Amino acid sequence: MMHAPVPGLACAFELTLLRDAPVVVGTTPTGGQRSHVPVIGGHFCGEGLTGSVVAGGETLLQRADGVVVVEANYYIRFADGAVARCFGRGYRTISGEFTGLRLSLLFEAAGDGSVAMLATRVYVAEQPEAGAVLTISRIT
Amino acid sequence: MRLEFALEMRIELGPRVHIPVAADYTRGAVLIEAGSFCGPGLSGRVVRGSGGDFPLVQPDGGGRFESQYLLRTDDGAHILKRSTGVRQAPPDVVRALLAGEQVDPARYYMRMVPMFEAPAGPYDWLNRTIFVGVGQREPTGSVFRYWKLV
Repeated sequence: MMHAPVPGLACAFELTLLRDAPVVVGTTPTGGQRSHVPVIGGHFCGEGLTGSVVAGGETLLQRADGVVVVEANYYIRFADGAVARCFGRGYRTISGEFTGLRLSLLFEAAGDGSVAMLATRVYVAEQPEAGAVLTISRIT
Repeated sequence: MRLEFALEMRIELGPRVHIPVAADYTRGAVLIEAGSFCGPGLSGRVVRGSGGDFPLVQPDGGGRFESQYLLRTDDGAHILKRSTGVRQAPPDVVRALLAGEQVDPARYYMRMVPMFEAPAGPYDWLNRTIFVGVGQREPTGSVFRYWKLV
């Protein structure tokens, strides 16, 4: 019987985000308060790559249990002009063992481009409530 | 951030079909016939007929998983599991996997990030926890092991 590898977390990237004022839809009858936070800038670096956040947003659903479900999209333009979409889902929690934002993230990029390898791995990310940086780790 | 083991799941898969939506876009579909899961404080079975995996399949055999199905715990709670993930492997490994051969799981990268919707109560920690999964294809099904981000 062959066993699958035990995964680890490898430090990969740091992402700082500049967010605009939220657009609030309100409390929906299907559950939760819906809102959207536009991402209007930011900086991406790590593993020899640097880039700027050129667009994006975080679509939020705040549930009555105090957890905010986050759907994130960050579009990053790298120094050589290549663009990647970083996207994923996760939670923002304001109480409990961890407070802040945690996400699972994937990338999309042109298959023949310089950052195509980003799309071949899965990532998780964390930004503590008081922190200014989203730390992204590659799942090994 | 660190990972802590959460559960192991074993599933049996039905036949796979492909939907050739466009020249550069193929949707796969494979239904889960049966399955069970077990971990600290959590065990039960996959609900038969509740869903499957609907991957986007690349010409080279890699691709993106998108799965959705229901779990039922041994004490009767229903939990919706939805997951995305990546499979990446050299072409000869993909060929062996598609042929149903036994392949050393260290030779391919198969990682998933599931999200759960569980009822309020003893399982509601699933509703605010990030998970990381490692997949292992066996000739008759799959083994998934999940770790939680703590």
